[in-house]
Amino acid sequence: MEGRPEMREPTYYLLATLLDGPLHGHGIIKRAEEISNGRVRLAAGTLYAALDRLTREGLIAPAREETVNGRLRQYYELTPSGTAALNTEAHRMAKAARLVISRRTTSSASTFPAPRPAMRYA
Amino acid sequence: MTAVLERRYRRLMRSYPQTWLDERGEELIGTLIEISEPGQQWPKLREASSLVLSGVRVRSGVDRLESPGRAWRDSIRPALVLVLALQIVMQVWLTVLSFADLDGAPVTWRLLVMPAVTCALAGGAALALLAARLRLGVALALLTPLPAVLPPFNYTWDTYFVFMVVVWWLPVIGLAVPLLRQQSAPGPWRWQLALPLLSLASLLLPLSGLYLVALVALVLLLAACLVWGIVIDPRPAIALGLLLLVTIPQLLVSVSALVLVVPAFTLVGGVLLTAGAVRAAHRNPA
Repeated sequence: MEGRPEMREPTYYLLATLLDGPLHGHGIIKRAEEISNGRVRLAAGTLYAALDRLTREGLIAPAREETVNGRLRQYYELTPSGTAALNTEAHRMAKAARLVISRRTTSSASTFPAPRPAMRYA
Repeated sequence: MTAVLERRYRRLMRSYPQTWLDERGEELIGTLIEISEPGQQWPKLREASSLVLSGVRVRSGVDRLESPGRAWRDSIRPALVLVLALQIVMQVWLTVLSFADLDGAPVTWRLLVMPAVTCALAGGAALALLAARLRLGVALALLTPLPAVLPPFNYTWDTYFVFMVVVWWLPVIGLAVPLLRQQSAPGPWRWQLALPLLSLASLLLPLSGLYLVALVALVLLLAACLVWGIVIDPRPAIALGLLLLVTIPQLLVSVSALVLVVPAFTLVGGVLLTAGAVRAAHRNPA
C-alpha cells in the first residue's frame, strides 16, 4: 500500500461499511451514514462510480448476487488489498489524531473547534 | 407509484453509456428504488444530478483516469490537434484579409495555393493524430509553416520567416516530445475536442460580419469548456489552456497583440489550466 494517495473520507467510510461482511448498494449507503454519524450521505450515482473505481483498483470485489422483489442485488466485499488500505488509512488518521489529542491534556478544551457538519456526496 | 419513479430514473440513466447500463443498470435502478421513500414519484434533485453527472463522467472516460498525470498526458494530443486547427483558422483569416487588400486586382494563384497547401498540411497532420498515426502527424505538423517561407510560394528571404518557423516549431516540438514518449491514450478521447474546436470555429464568425454573435459565442464556449473542466472532465480545459499558452510566441509580432491578446491568452489559458489541474486532482467525487 506504499505510495497510495491519501484516501478521501467517503471512500474510507465506504470501505469501512464492508468490514463486517458483504453489503449491497442500499446497505452500503445506509451503513456509511450510520457509522459516520450522518456525515457521509452517498448519492446512488456517486456510490456506483466509487464501486466501479474501487473494484478496478482491487480494493473491493463482487461477492454474490440475489434477487429481491424481482430486483437484482449485487453484494460487495473487501479484498485483502482493500482491508490493508483501510488499515493503513486508519493508522495514518490515528497517528494524526494522537498528535493533537496528546496536547489536549496541556491545553484548554475550549480551544478545540466543534466537529464539522454532515457532508453530502452527490 | 414505483413504476412511475422507475421510469423517471431510467430516463436520467440514459446519461450512462449503453454498455455500462447493460452490465450495471438493473443493479443501480434496484438501489435507487430501495432508497426511495414510500409514495415518492419524482427523483430527488440530489439523486438526479448525481445520476446525470456520474453517467456523463463514465461516458467521458474520466472515471478511468488513474492519476492526475494521466489527465495531463491525455490532453497533449488534443492540444496539438487544436494548435493545427488554429493554424487553419488563421490561414482562412489571412486569405480573406489579403483578398480585401487586392482592391479589385485579379486573384493570383500564389494567394490561394500557399494557404491551401498550409491548410492541407495542418489538416493532414490533425487527421493523422486523430487516427493515432502520431509520427506522421508530428512530421506533417513540422512541415506546416514551410510553404509560407519556401519556393515556389516565396522567393525572398527575411529573418521574420525564421521567427515564423521557430515560433511554430517550438510549441509543436514541445507537445510532440511527451506525446511520442507515452503510450497511446486509451478510451474515448476524440470527443474532448468538441468544445475547444467549436471555440476555434467561432473565430470565423466575424468573417460574415457577425461580430457580436462571434464574441458571445466565443465567451459562452470558453465558459462551457471551463465548467466542463471543473465539473466533468479536466482534459478539454487543459488542452485548450495549453493551446492558448503555447500560441503566445506566435503573437509577439505587434504592440497591440502584446497589450491585449497576450494578456487575454495568458489569463484565459491560466484559468483553464488551473481548473483542469484542480479537477484532475479531485477527479473522483467519492
